[in-house]
Amino acid sequence: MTTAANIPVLITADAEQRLQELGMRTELDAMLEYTKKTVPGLRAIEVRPYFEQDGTMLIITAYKDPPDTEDDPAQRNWDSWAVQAFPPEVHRWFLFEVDYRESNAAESIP
Amino acid sequence: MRPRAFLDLARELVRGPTEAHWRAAVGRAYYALLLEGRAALQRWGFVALRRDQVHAFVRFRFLYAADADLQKFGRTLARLNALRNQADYEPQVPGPFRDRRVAGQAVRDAEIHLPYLDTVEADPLRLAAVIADIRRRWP
Repeated sequence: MTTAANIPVLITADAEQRLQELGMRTELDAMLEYTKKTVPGLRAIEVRPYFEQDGTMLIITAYKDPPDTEDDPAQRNWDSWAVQAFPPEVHRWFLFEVDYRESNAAESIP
Repeated sequence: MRPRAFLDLARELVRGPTEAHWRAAVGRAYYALLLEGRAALQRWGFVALRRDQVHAFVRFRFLYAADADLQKFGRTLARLNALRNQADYEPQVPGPFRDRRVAGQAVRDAEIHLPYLDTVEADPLRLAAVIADIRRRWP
């Protein structure tokens, strides 16, 4: 059984660089921790940059099992938490999305 | 036509049988939110000066709102914007459009967050606070 401690996390090199520019490592760590603890059926997490005209954002993708029901509240719950936990000056740089595909993140981590 | 009619179309598209339907559904859901958001801002006295700035103009007014529900609206708008760019500009890889699930979720999230605008507008005190906050932040 996968536990929060051994959920693989892949942060791409581009994302690492952007994270350093933003100076928001602590905030990302909190987001990853929250994701691991709260997203059911989580298999892996990937963080990659998303190039936007107004500045490069970071997309946190949670690879997870599909929900049993039609609606998956994972994204809404995450956004609600982010709005409470961080000011807009922080959470505006991070998007959270779910993906029901298999991820190769585990194999990609050195 | 009210822009939210695009959400009805998104619901139809997401039930369609092909990847093209699911990609198009995300686009319509995004524009339903974007254009309803822009219309609300216009009613509140805030108008984007140039068409090419509309996406960021609307997104940032909501992302930076003091009202938590409007921030959630802004976050959904930002997420759908990213998904819509993937849907429209990256047809070479199926990505999240391998099946209809991610598109369906995007449409549902748009359905849930769009009424936040109506809720704020229905409460004069809350709306006045929202307008004052946007005015202060974006003089």
